[in-house]
Amino acid sequence: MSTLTGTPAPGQELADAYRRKIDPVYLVVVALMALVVVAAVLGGFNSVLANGRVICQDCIGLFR
Amino acid sequence: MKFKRRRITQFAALIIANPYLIYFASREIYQGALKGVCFPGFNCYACPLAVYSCPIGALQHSAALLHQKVKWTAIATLLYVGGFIALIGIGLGRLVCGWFCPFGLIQEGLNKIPSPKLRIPHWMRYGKYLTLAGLVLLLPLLTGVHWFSRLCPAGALEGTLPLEAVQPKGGLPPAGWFFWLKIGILVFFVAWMVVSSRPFCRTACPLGACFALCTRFSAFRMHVDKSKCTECDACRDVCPVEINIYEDANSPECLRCLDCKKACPASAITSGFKSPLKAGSPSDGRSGTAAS
Repeated sequence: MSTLTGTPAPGQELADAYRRKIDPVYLVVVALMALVVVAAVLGGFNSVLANGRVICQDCIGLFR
Repeated sequence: MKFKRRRITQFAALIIANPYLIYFASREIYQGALKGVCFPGFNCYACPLAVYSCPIGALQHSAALLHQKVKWTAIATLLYVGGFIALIGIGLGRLVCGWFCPFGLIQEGLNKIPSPKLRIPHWMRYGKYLTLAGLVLLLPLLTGVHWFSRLCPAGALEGTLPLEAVQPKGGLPPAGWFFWLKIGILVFFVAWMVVSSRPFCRTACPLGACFALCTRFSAFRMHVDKSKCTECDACRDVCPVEINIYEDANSPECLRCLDCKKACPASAITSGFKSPLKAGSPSDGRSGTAAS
């Protein structure tokens, strides 16, 4: 709000509309998606891939 | 025979998770890039037909890497797998348990076998959180061993038995006492699945525990219209986890199978995607406005 006139400051209405529209839950979802992608690129994907490529000896209860 | 939409979805998820029929010719498990992706349900990646990784196996793997002091890779793996589970949990919550989990489908199938049915005491639900904290995270972190996988009945059913029946190239090592312990745990759970509804999901599933922890914040929500609900308990009669949905519409125990929605004679139960912040109090789904 403009303190002198009581009318919304320039851009204030738009900012309020965005605040009402964008739910924090969607922001959390987007943040998690970004986290997954970054972690995958930084080695998470290759690590899970290497682990999954061999028959999991623990899963089948047989140990070499 | 009329199949429910949920049953068709469950079978589709089972096939999507395990389509690798080439194994029968090659006798080598799938080793392509999809194994770097976790399946959102509980499906053993030692299954000869599996093409995705098990999220719980991958989570244990990251904890075991931390024990081996492979710090950077371990942290990236933990964030990748943990972020994936949290993403599914926030988006769908336990809808995955009710609609997409292959092991859930197996349990429901076994429970169709005519037998006396036993209720599961409510306190046993805490077992799944203990399994997650102890066997999946803490023990692998302290010992570097995948303890949950060593005891997992899904691994025995979907991995051990098929691989023993159709052995991979080079064969398998001989069975030791741990093998028989694992088979014993499987036999125990299979017997329990016949007499009780989804016992593994309710008492021991670490993936179910992860999704249950996300349920309060999940975008998929249940809602009970208090003005229509007569508390006739028709919903409880069909509920696979024996909860009163009208007491807590978004209970962490609810598998979101939506059978109650169909059974409700007053059509008081609705469900749909809605922000938990806009759905009223998280502890009482009745106070929110109806979704879809």
